Amino acid sequence: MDLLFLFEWLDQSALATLSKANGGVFAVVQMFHLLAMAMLGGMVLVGDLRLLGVVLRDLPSELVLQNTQRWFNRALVVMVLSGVFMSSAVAMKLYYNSMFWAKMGALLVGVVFVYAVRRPLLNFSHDTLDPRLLKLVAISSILVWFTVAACGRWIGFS
Amino acid sequence: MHEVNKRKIRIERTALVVGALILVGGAWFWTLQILEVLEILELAYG
Repeated sequence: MDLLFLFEWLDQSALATLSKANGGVFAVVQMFHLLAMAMLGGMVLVGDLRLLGVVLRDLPSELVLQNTQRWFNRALVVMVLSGVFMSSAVAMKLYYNSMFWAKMGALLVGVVFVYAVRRPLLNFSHDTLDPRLLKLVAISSILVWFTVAACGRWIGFS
Repeated sequence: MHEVNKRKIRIERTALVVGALILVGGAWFWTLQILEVLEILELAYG
């Protein structure tokens, strides 16, 4: 499916006019994007390192995961909204950037993994789950979100 | 209870398959990226 029309529309939208004409607005939105990224990465790391038994071992993993998931959700919403705004400034450039598509692919995999697999699985008592499966889920989660962040940074150099 | 167990087994299997696919896919993707960087370094520095 060719999404070129979507990027052309975004490039001509009022959002693009605003983001292209106002460097200050762009910078502030980018700041929120980076803050949300830091929070999302932090929540992923805290939750998954707890599953791996590396951090916060004196706290029940259910409690840690429940709290990190809540802040993960908020950070993801901020990241997506600010990301769409930032994309509007360089929509056509992004459309032809392979690393942008790698990031979007990894983001899609990450979101589906978190909401369709990780969260439903971790809703069960962790004591009843195979510890090897928990570790696999934690490592996969770290890998996929690291890929999203690294590809995002790579866009600027490709 | 039986239904909950069935759901648990199903999600465990899904997590196993998807987790393994992410590991394999991630390893493949990062291998390609590292090879590309090595190629660029070779072109630049011989």
